[in-house]
Amino acid sequence: MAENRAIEPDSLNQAARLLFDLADSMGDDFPAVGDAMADAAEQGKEALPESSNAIGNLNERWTGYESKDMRENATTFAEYLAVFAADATEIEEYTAADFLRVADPELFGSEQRAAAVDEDSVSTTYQGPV
Amino acid sequence: MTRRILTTVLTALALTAGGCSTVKEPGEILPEREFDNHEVYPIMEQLVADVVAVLPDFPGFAERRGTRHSCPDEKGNEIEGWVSIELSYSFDIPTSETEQVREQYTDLLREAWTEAGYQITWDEASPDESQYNLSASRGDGITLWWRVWGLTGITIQSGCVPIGNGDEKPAYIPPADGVPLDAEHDPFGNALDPSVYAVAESSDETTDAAAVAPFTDAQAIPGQVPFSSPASYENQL
Amino acid sequence: MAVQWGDLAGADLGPLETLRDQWRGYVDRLEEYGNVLAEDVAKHLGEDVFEGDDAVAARARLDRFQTAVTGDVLDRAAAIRDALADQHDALKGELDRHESITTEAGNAGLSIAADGWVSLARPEQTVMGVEETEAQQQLIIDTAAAAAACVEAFALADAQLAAALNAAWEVPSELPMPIGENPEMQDIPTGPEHVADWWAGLDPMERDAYLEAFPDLLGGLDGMPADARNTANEATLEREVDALDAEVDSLERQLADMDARGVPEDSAERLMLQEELAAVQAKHDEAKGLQTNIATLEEEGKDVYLLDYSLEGDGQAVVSIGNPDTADNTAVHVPGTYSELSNFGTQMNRADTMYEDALKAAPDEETAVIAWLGYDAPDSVPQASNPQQAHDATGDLSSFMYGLEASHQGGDSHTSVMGHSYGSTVAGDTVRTYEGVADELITVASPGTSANSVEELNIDEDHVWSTTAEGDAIELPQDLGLLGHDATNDGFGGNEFTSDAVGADGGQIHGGYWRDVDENGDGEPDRPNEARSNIANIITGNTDKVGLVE
Repeated sequence: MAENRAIEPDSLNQAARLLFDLADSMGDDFPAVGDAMADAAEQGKEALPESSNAIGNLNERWTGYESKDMRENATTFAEYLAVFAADATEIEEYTAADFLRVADPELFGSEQRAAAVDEDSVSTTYQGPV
Repeated sequence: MTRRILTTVLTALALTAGGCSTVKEPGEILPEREFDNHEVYPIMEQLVADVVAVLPDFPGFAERRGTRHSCPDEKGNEIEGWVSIELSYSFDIPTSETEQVREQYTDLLREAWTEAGYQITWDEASPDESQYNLSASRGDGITLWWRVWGLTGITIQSGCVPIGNGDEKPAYIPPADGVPLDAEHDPFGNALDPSVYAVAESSDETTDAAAVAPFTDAQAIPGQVPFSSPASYENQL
Repeated sequence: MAVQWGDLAGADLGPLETLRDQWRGYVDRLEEYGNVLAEDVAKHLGEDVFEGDDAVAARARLDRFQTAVTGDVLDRAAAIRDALADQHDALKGELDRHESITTEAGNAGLSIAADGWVSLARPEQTVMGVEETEAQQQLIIDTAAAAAACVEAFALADAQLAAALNAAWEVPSELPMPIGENPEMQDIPTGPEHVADWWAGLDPMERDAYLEAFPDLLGGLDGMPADARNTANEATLEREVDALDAEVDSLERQLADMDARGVPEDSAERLMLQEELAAVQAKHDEAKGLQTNIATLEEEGKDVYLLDYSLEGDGQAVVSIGNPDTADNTAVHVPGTYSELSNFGTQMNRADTMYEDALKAAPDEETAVIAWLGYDAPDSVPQASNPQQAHDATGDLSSFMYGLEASHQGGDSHTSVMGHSYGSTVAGDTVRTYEGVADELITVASPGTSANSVEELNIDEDHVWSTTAEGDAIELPQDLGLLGHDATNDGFGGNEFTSDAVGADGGQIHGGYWRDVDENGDGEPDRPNEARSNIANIITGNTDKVGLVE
């Protein structure tokens, strides 16, 4: 297995920051769409029975899709990168399997991770060069 | 009738399986040998060096490969304490395709091995005449096999020999003429003990066919060949 | 309940317009998300700042995520946006028409009921005996038709919008599994082709997650690539060896404890424990032996793949020398009677011999040779006269062969299935029972192929190869044909290639096809077995170089 090395750990922090922001944006942007779907589904029941029903289903499914899948992808990816960047001096200790573990709150609950995945502290967790 | 057939089948399959009769001792299954694996390996390398010595304008081998296989009984069970080594050197593909190595060298080796007193045991082209096999027996269980296949090269077979020194690997001997010293070209080098190092040299630097003669009497090897320095063991032979 | 004229009167497209506008904005935002991932995030994960296996995995995940967002997700969202816009316009058009029809009807003295019934606005005229004029009647008919058409078009637009929104969900999500989410066993398909497609669609991290979660299942799953199977099986084998180690230690401690307690040597308790220890120790040695045999070949510079194994019963194993997923030529060697995990090293060595020979026969091609003990081979003479164990193995062997084809990269591979002794009955029965198993069938010292002639096999007779050395003890059961006919039988068809008889008796000859020949009878080998060059040429497709029996 090739040695893992963050040549510029702060760059990983920035990538993590972007992904956290992205997840936030997803979280901010979508509710208005969801509200509009709920409203359209309710208001159109009489005149638009077919599409109202479809919109209701769409609201339910897209909300799950968007929040569970897209946002979770962005968030967990960001968490991984943040942990990686925070622990850059021991980066070779990580393997692809850790890639998964570190992002799973139930499996990786150290204080270090808690600090690393604190969105506000991401950009400051980098302690020094590799 | 059915019973008779079954009996015949069982008899035949019992033969196939080596039977349920008396268990044979390894000595009964495998012939006694004059050398163990640590002793036979340098002889095999020496034989390769001697092959190189009788081939003029030698272009250099490209690769050394090898196998170390256990010696099974008739049921396929490993006979403990025995191993069979096969050592192969090959030219690269372009060299393997030249008339020099496919024909001239084959003729030279046939002549050299015959003069050395070896028995030529296989001397035959494939049906389409594009491949050739020349093998010779030294009479001590070691076989030399000149393969003119897609790759041309020499294979030396030890036959089954006892394992000496437990799990220790035979001493490292650098590959013969031309093989680069890296894992890609010398994968068999890994199977040797690099902490013990010896060098194989031609027993005679001349290209005279008699160069292989010193190996006709393998009994001349007095037990363990010393490998503690990169010195030739040829004087031991 | 179907939409009626009156429903249109109360219809408000305001919420739909809001929704359309929201989706317009959301699609724009999704495009921005894609740009952030493709440009900004990617820039911070480049090869110049992050290297190693995890970096490669991270970049692959980013690529997949970005592709999903700008492809799968954006496509769905855009389809929803467009459907909302198109059908809103259609609905709006029908509402406008509704209004126009209503106005015109009123001007003509007509009224339209909620259910679409059109009548004169002053019905007392008829009550008083005033007949509708023909013109009025025609106007009523026309108005009713226009109203019906309007309602129908409105309902159609409603249905089309619903269909478009539902269609956006017909294809499952292509988003990668979020990091840390547990892979689900039910997502793993069955069938070699489906398995190969499924695996190819996972990103590196998902693959790692599945391998970690289900190594037992994936290690033996046909259609999985060789390197992944090897990863799973090596990990599982290591764990099993460790567990057996611990079990041996525990049993030994219990025996030591019995010593201390002065339990008699011949007590049932002690004898049972000793028996258990011997069984566990044997299992441990088999597992350890498999690891050692693989390590020995790897030490000689070979790529070795543990494609499957089991410690149950006699034990089974499937080991490839060379990577079958990239090989130009792949040969699968099926061993026969008495084969079990404890002596599998012999079969690996035979595969190794064929692998080394193939490299020399076809040096510009890549070859893989697999020792396949994926079945319960007969372990007694009576068992070996019964075809049932061979037939039971055909499903697994065919699945394995189909799996090789499914996971192979870059075009077809030339494949051979080969059996020695009872293994040739397995190979023959598999080729007889299933189509497209291999390009070549090779039987060595076969007691029978399960077929009576080559016509019964799903392979052309030019690609059926067999050999039996003179004096091989298998000749007797061959003559009886209890396992079908051997391919060297007169009239069977196919090609009979030459091999040397190596050994002092029929039993030794039977196992001597990969051993050197003792030409002068002094017990020591003198020359290589001809079978080796012939097999090498068959499995590499150099069939014109194969020596045939005259």
